[in-house]
Amino acid sequence: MWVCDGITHMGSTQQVAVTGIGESPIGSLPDMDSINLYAAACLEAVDDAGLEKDDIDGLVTGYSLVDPKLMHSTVVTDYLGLNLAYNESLRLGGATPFAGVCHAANAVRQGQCENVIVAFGDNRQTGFKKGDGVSSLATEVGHPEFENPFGPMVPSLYALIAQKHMAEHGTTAEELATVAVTCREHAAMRGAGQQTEPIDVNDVLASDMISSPLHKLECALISDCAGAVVVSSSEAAEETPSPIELTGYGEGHGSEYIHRRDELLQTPAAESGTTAFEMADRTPDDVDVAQLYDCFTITPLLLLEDLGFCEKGDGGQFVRERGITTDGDLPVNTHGGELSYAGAGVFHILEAVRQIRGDAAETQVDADLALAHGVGGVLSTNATLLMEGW
Amino acid sequence: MSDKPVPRPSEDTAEFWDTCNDGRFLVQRCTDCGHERFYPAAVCPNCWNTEWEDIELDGNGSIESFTIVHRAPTEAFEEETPYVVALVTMGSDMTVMANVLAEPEEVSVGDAVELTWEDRDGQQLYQFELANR
Repeated sequence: MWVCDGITHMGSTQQVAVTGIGESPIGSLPDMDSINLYAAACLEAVDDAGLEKDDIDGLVTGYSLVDPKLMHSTVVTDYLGLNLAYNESLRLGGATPFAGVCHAANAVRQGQCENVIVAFGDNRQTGFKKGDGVSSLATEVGHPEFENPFGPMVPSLYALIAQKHMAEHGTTAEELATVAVTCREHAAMRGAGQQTEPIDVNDVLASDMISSPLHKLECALISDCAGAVVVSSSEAAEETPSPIELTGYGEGHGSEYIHRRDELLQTPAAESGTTAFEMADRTPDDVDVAQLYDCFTITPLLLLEDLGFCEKGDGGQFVRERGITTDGDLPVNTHGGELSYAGAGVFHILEAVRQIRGDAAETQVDADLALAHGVGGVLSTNATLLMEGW
Repeated sequence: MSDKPVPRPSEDTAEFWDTCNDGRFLVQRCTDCGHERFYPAAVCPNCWNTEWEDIELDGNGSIESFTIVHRAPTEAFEEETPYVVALVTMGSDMTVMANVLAEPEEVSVGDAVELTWEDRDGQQLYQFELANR
């Protein structure tokens, strides 16, 4: 927002709402392909918003690794028979739905559309079994000439960050494992999602080592699933049953390849967070609950630091001393995250909405301000969302 | 013959891989701003100058971070597990990813390493080994 002499420049500052959330079934769903999953999530989100098919005039979708499309959102548009004024296929890895909400909000503020579905999902649990999917994911992430000939697994790229964090800041394996334990605790409390059996730190550290220091239980699930939200204009939101306000959002983008980082432990979450907090006129201290992308246990630690919840290097200490459970200083991933709920970041956005609505059941906290943050690549691209009551 | 991936040179990288075959590791230095870069590219990412000079690194580096890979990304790497993937700092703060050809338990952050070469289907691939061992 930039206001000068009462005239607003650089786009409208009208309120933007999230009016609906929806999700497909989650787990191993061999009878649903990627588009089926997208469709299920979109229908539920629009229904949740109290809107009809014809109210939808915008769509942002991600992509499918299992079933790639040249223009993914246009395929979904075709499948759902939508009539759009705004249409975007977005491909920013795990940051996709988070950045998608930013773009949808901008399109709404510019008056291009009224109600935008932002959806993300894939049938990776089923699809990767058919081909060589995990390997193809592995060879999509690293540099084909200057990284992949050396055999890093995707977790290895995050493990390199974790190992340096441990060496430089004294972060412990137990602190990293606590992130996984907390996510599982929340999923267990809710009794929803893919993994709801409680685990402790010893279970995490006894699980198979994938790429040191990361164990199997420190790696995100791979799921068949999709999630969707509806982003609406202020006027459209007034007609819906339970809108919440998107008060701040921001993006931060860095290098794709880990060997190109100037600072291995510094992520563009610092930029996306600053932008979002400034827009919302809030600070990290105001945040009551944070849904932090958790592809691996190291990720939320870095995000706690770069989003300003603690000093650089103190992420592990924050988890241990201040706590990220529902009775901690900053409850994190109250649905269970990608480590326990489902292997897609879009559910972090849905959970932030639930917390503000008061619909988070057993893990509901007293939340006036909820943060959701997504990461794509190897902490390469980042987007931060802030939500408050309407 | 290995099934591990062999780098497929592009217009930008052909000269680099050719000189690897002579046992030399070249990086580019921008003739305008002096920024040194790796991987090879036709544009300076710092100032967009399209002219550069090649400089040869002496092969000494230190381990910025490493991971011991237990679960291989593809079948070709399975027989090597566990193996070390590292980020190595060389020259003026240039970071390079490669394997450290050592027993995993011998490797620590900060260790000095030196360049060595692996023949991969006729292409010399840069690798590292622990220095002074």
